[in-house]
Amino acid sequence: MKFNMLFGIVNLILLFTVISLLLPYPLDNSIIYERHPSFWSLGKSTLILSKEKDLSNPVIEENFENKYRVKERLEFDTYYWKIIKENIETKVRKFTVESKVATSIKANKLTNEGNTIVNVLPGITGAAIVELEPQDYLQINQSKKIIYEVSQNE
Amino acid sequence: MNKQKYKITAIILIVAFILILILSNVSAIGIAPGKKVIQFEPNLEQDIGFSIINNEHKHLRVLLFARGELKQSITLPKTIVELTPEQEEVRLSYKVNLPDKIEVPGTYKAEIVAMEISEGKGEGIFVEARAAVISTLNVDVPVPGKYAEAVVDITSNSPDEPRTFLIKVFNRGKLDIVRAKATMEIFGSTNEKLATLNTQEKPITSGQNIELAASWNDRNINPGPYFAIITVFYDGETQKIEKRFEVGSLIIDIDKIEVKNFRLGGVAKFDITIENKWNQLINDVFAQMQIRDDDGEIIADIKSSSEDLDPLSKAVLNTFWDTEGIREGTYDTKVILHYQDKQTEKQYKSFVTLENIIVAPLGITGQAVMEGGVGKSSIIVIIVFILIIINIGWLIYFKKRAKQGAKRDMLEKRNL
Repeated sequence: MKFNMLFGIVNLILLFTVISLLLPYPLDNSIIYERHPSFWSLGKSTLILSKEKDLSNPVIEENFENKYRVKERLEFDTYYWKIIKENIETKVRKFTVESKVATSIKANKLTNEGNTIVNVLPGITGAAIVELEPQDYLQINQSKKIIYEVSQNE
Repeated sequence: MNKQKYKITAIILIVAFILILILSNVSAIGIAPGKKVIQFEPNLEQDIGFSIINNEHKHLRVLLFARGELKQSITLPKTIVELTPEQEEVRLSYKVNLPDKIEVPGTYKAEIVAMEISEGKGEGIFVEARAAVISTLNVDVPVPGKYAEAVVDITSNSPDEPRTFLIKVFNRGKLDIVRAKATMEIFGSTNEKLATLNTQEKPITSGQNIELAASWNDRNINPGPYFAIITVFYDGETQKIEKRFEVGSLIIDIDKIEVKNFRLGGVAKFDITIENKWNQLINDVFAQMQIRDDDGEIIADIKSSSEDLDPLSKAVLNTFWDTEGIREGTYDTKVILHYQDKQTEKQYKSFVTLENIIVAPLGITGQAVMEGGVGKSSIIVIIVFILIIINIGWLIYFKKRAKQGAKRDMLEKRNL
């Protein structure tokens, strides 16, 4: 009985994974931090992505097969999109790319874990501001009692 | 016994699945959005949503406070926020109450600061470095009348793709702008005018912004620095922006390496042909050549003299290697070009024989940058693959068990 339950749970996970693969991404009205989001559609399709509700002046209008990952870093803004496949097109969906200022301090490294360029200001009088791209890090002495202030610079 | 084994395997796989999901994204403290911009309105009251992010999935205690010239206008929901390991993100909102008047136009700021604090301890009690993340609120106070500010962004610096000029025009004035458009004059490195582009015309409501765009499609562009004068016209007013931009990147490529008239034991003269792909003169270019033996030890580290390279031209740099005591064989060879604080690096194999050295490229060794570890899609594909295998295994197992059961039933029936 227990074994069958385990079988069911694992299958549910499988189902969840497959559904998440098939669901349109980004979800309608969602807030995302990913600046290079990916779009899925089985077979040959066209993606139209715009800042306008009527999809005029598209930021992206690309043909792709199965998956398309946005190449240029998207600005922090609200975007409208649809996918056209042969004569079928999805409804216009909306998502917002929001900036995230996040950081970690580990192994004497302060890393920019967010999705935006940040200014790092060590809380020491006269210390210089350091600019960090996402995933860049600053070598620090972790044992020193310093507060590093991290703010968006974009 | 078998049943027990399958059970353990399944549990391990589920735990691995959860771990993969958790470990694929690690960070300490975060806040979102990093910046929020609103337009000043007298006595404006507004709730602004923000998130505290706990990507490390730990017990996180965060101290929240506001500062800056508008801190009096901010009311935070609480000063201490606690997140449990299960909470990746907590959504909160703060209240903004703007005054009835701000005399001087401009941008006014407030900062929402989130700082991790130790469990059970107060503000400032910590033993090592820590980070405070900041969400900035900018309040734009409009200029009386009509006033626009523009920011220019140029997409794609590849010589093979059209470059799009994106001009974001902000209406910082109190009045709406009926017509806004822009022209772009593009100049080459010797100030020759190469193109004039015009954008479409658009209105801009007070406090809002629009994007004007124009593409420069000239495909006969050499890599190098360029210059653009962008003029934004709006209801009889103008704003000029000057912008330098680059097409392609400053790069010198190694074309080929040859050794002529060589005898093992003598001095090998390497002719390194290099090419300047930039549209400007590059001074003081020199090559460094490192040759390694089978054990990876550097047996020669030689440098060429410096050369100046004309725009879009080729030149030959020479390095000399004394091969006395060197045996026939294959040697890993790295060539590094040094120029203007930059380096171009390529890996080669040098095939040394009694009367010849052939230097063959292995491909460019570059700065391989990982894009944030294993991608989510690849994780999903791996998980789906694992789960399919488990399910097939289980199906076979169930089928076998059913067969065995049927056999047992048959035997029991026969015995009866």
